[in-house]
Amino acid sequence: MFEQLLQASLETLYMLFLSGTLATLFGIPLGIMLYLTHRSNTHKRFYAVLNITVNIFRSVPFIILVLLLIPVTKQVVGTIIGPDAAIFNLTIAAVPFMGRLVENSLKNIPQGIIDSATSLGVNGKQLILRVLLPESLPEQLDNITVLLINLVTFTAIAGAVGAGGLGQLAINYGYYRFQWDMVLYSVVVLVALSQFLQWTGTRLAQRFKH
Amino acid sequence: MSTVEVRNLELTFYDKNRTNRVLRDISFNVDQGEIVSLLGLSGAGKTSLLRTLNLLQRPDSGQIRINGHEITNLSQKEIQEMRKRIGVVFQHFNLFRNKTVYDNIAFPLGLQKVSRKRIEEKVRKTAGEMNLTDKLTAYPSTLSGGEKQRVAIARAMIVDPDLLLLDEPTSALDPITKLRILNTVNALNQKHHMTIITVTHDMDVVKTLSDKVAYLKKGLLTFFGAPQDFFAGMGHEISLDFDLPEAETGIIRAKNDAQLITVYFWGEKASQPVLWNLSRLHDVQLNIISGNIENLKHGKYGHLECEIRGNSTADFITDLKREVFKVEVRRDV
Repeated sequence: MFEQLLQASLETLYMLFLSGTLATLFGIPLGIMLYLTHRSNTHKRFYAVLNITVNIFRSVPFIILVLLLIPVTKQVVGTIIGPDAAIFNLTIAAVPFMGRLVENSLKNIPQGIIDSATSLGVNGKQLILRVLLPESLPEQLDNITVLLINLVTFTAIAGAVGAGGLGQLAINYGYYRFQWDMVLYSVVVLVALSQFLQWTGTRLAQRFKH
Repeated sequence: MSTVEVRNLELTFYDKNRTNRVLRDISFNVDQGEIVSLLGLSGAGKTSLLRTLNLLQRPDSGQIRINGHEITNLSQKEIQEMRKRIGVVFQHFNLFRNKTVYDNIAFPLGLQKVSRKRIEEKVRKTAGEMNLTDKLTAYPSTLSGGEKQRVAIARAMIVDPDLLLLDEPTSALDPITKLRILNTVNALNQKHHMTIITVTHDMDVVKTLSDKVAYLKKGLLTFFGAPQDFFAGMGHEISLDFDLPEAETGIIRAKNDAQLITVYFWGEKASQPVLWNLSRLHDVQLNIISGNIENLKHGKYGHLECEIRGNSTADFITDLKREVFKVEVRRDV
């Protein structure tokens, strides 16, 4: 029983960190793109398209998204069962979410800072790498924390459709076999994981706040 | 040392139902090394005007020439290069919050190909000039307003700019710090001879810093010239605009049989007993009702509201007009 719990926990962590990393890798550029095109005069149409696309993906409930993506998942991953298939779905759900978080935190950078950077003659790349990201670093770390904690929930939902991990464990034992002690253990681990992520994330963000 | 020529600038903001003509046919010239104040009430257009000078705000029409080169038709890349030689200081400092004082000051050099060693030399030198040497490792959130503004000035100065643009640099500071910053700016101008254009609604800035004053009212440039001409010529209007006490007093307090004049002094004559000598010469009774004499950047400036009585007041006034900067007859007998 303990081995099953351990195995499930490791699967959950695997799904969490891989989809989290991919969502951050794609989500940050997406957020930057949303922020810059929204403010520009020449790219307003591009922003409109991007914005609506992000909204659509965010409005579809995760479990429905998984179902809709079945043919694509099968093509890309080769299967619709197991952690790898789940990572594919989780990433697609998480990237628009992370994009929005990043966009919002960039919007909170005071306009004066952007004005002074522009007045110093920065080009686009320098603005992003030397001003936007460093000035919003604590907020981006907070965003990653929020992302990961949301993903914990999503991995559990993915467990309902065969992803593996603690979600699947809890549903198999609780929903199908009424063995509530296993359910309890799964929940404890999930809660502990969330708490740990929140605690670490907050402290890390605080470290970079001046 | 840049020259700046502005010709027929127009700028309009469209805001819901209102059309706001922020800049209306603005034209003026700034010579090398001059300090010009853009003065006016809030909403007069002064900050908008300043922002067009480095194209932070694009004017709708008009020309802006810096050192003879037209800047309104430059490419984005050329504009970025141009901005690297213009220093800008803002009212609310706008320092990078997550960078140390050192990194803030060094930032402009990091945009150009400058070696780390050279950057350190220049940062330490500029920080020394601004008395920030012991604050280099601090973050902006720990600094006072005066310190933050000095960092902002250091960051603007480190590229040895030919042109410095200041947007109400002392509005957020207490009076003593304000004076210190103004003295610092003056000293920098004496030492480095860069052209400075500063937005302000503060008369002290105009008096202590400016070689020329540009007065803006509702988007129009209603005056451009030397400060003493500004105060002497526009006195009444600016008193009303800025709610200064001088406008009404003279007229209320003069007795009926007295003639009311305003006498303006400029330069050395402000220190000589002209009124005393002439009033004795023409046997005119002179009563000073109110007035002010103060130090402008290039000399003493004074204005006095006086009542005069006597038989030869006309001759007195004629002689006086030859001796002093300006005489206005406010009310005849």
